[in-house]
Amino acid sequence: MHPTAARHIPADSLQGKVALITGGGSGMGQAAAMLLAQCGARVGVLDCDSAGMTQTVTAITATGGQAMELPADVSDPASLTAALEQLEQAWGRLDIVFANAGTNGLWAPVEDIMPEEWDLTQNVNLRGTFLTVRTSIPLLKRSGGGSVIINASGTGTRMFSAFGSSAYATSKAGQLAFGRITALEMARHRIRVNTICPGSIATALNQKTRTRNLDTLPKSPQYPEGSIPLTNGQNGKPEQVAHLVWFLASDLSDYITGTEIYIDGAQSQLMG
Amino acid sequence: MNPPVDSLSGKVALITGAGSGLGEAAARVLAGSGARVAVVDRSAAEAVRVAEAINGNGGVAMALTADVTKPDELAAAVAEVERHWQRLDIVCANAGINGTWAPVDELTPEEWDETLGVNLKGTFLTVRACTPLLKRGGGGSIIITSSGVGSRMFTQSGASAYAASKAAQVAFGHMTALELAKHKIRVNTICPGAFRSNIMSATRHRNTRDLRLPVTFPEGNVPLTGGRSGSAEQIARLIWYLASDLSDHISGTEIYIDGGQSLLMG
Repeated sequence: MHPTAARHIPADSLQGKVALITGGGSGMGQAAAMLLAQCGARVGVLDCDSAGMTQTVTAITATGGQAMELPADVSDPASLTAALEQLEQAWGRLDIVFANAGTNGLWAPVEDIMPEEWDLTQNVNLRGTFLTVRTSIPLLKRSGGGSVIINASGTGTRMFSAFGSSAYATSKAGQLAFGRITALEMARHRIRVNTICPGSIATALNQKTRTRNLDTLPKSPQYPEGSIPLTNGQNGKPEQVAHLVWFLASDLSDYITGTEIYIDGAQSQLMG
Repeated sequence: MNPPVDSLSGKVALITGAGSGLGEAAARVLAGSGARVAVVDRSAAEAVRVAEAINGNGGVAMALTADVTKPDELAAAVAEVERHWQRLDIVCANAGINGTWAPVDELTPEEWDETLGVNLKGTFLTVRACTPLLKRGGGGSIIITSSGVGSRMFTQSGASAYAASKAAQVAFGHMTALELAKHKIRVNTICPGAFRSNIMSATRHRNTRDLRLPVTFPEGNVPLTGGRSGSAEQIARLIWYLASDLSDHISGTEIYIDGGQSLLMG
């Protein structure tokens, strides 16, 4: 366990609970999967990339934790349903859902984004969140409640100056609204829903961004001292996001639902 | 579940309005996690009561009497903290009043000033007084107690002064988060909904009975609990999280903690 986590997080704090983490094969999803497993949760690691998924599950089981590979694509309802069935069959319950799978998609001027490219981003980020939550609800209800954590972003909710990000930002804003509505709708079943909005985090997602014709857009603002005031510009770490996921997953946050939490070292206070 | 007993060991916290309600709960939770706690309240008796309870329970606390509207008293309190403990890591700008709830044309300028004086200026004065010591210690975490009223909820007719003070605290939290970031001081704002405390009974109501537009909540107005308000301890656990190094990348956010109340009530 990360030293900060070891000092603050009881190793049995999620004992008996079952977690589902989409996009659990890399980045924030992987860090969250490992931390929740270290706290005693059994973790379903769902990903469409089998190499990353295997890596996460191997790392968890090698240290005595319990995890299961759930190969699925969040934009494909049938594969999600199959994954949830596999999880229920093995562990019989579900308490924590981290709807984390996402794509940066294509960053380009609005008029240069093809409708299909727009759809791809919405399908993974927004529709994928809807499908993940939709598919998980019955089992969460049967388990007597739970905690859903949606991974949105500061982009599209507080920050709008990243030129070319219209498809991505729109999907992230949609997740925020979806989180609030579902928080209200599922409260009577004791299912909490909260949305986290990370700033720049050191993950591989950034390298996977496709871009087109960004040079035709205005130049983005420059930040000579970096854009993350709290860290002199250093990106946040996936482990820091995992700590927040743990807090929202745990009973320590049992009166919190329907909120967003920005985790960005004040980046969204500096960037417009 | 309670936060681990040594998770804040070595740290020093100052909490205003710690003689009752949420402030008292925060003092107990932070002390229970190993922090040394300065229990600041304008009532000496209440501050002493809370500090003695903590000390009697194996924690470390000190009672300090100060009115958050008085810069001199706050400066003296912070000086005491420095003299005893030489550092400060956590500040809960929590002292607040409901003040007078009345139709806006009947609210006197003095009543407005009283509410804004404690809730808003008191927050500014608390942060202002604590910042130098936080800086000298290499950083820290400031937690501002605002409310869902004024930021997401606006149906508490008559509470215009209170709501304005609470909305302004959110803006103040955003501004100071950015301004203090380079000193590694984090600033976050919590927005509780209804929870069990005596601040509601301390509200002075005048002619608010017919002010409110009728709304009914057939299933109660706290969706997560079937209408039951939360407890101060639940909110104190959020304060613990924001005070701890677990949240070391979080600054400049609001967090609503209300069982979904602010999404149901306009």
